[in-house]
Amino acid sequence: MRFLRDSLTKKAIFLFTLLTGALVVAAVILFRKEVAELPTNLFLGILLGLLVFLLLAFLFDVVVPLNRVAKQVKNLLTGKAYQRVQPSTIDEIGVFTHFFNEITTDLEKISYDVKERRRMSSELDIAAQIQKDVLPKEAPEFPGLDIVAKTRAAAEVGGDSFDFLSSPDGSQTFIYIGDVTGHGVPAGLVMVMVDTLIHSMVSMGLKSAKDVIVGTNNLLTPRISARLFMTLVMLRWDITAQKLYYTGAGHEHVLVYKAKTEKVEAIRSGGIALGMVPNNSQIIQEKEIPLEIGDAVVLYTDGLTEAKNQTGEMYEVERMSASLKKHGYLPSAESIFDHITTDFSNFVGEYVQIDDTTMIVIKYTGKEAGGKAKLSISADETKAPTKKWTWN
Amino acid sequence: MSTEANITVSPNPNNPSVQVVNVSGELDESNLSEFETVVNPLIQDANNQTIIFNFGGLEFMSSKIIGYLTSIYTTMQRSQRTVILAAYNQTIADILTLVGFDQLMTHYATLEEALRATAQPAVPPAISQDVSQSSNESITLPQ
Repeated sequence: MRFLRDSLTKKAIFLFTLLTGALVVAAVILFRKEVAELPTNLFLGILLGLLVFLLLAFLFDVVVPLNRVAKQVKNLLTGKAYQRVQPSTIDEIGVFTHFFNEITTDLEKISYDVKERRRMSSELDIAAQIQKDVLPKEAPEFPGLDIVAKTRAAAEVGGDSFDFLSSPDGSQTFIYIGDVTGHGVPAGLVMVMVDTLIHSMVSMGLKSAKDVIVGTNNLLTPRISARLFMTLVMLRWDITAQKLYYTGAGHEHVLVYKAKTEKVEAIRSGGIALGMVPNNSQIIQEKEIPLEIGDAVVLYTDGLTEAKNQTGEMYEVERMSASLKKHGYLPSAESIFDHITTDFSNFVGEYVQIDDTTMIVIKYTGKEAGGKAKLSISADETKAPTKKWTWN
Repeated sequence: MSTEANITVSPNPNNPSVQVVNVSGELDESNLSEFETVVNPLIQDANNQTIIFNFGGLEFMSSKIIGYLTSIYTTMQRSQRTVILAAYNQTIADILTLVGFDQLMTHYATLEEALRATAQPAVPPAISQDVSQSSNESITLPQ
């Protein structure tokens, strides 16, 4: 009977054949019994019985199962509560019922995924906000230095960091730029840890950048995965002596523009990245960068030097240095910054960058000049592939 | 777009406890998992006392790869095993020197030197004042 049950058409043909057969048999019997006429009541009774049989068959086999599933489909389409329907037949209505059940199961899964995605996106937004809150919104006064610092993350949460800190007695100012391996949430978490540790070290009254970095590394290394590390270079500005010192922890070069010779020196920051060895005290060193009025110092992360153009060529430190050499004479840090980033934008064009980018430009203006540093933290715009690369 | 790298393993016939991982091309985030698939089983096998990374044909590595190599170094060091880098070019040397990674691992100019050295126990380079001084030197750029 399964052959008949799996199709409404087959069922209809079977019923038609059954009724036709019954009529033929009845006609043969009546013919053999030589019955020429039937009483009207009997004929109408038989006809009514057949109609009731057909109606009941149609009602229980088609209308009822179809109504049950149609009601739930309507609920689904109008956003009301719906439930799965147990298929009672294996014909087209049964297939439709099974399809409805499968669709609703998939919809529930998709709905859960969408909710989960929204939740994760919301948490990423919160993480990004926490990270932005960690980055400085205001910088201390820098008597003698004119400073511009800008960063932009390639993902919601970035691994680049910079900050400006003053020693408790106000005699020293620390400026650092850092870059955690990769980007995204793991890098962002390490960045926040390092920034917090550095703030703690400086607030404890440590006056040498070496001590700050060594102390930070000692606390950081046992608490992060061996795969994660943070490169960093820290400048210490001795306000009274008007002297600048650098301490490297495996970071990119420190670029120094000498106004007198109009040349650029790329100093290896040296040291070893934070998180690589439990004790870096024997490797980290603090050294002076002799400055004269008009000199400029540029700190950057590898998101700039490893940025590629359409042909896959990297920007490299040589192009950064050449740009600084060309624009280092400009009177303000902001104008130098703008010209370097214009050169960079022209190089990378519309090629989408995959890493966070941060740059700090410092111009030594002499004790009487200088002021507050200008800071900017940019949102991610690089996701738009046709968008020209900009900082703001 | 995935960066291309060719990664092969060649056991040392003279010393089965030494495995050589030959890498050429470029290594970055996009092919890190491919690199891990080849290297992780070698690290998990405690019979491998030394792993030599032959970077002879390597043209670039990103910081993610350095992070992975650091984790390999940490894992191997914990079980008194050795990681050696060999034959990397000046570009890779610059990248490794920049983050101070060259101060962590033993490295040799050629694979042959690295293989010869594995005949005797490898000694990690001492982290000394001299090393830190040499890493702080400046480079002269074309002016």
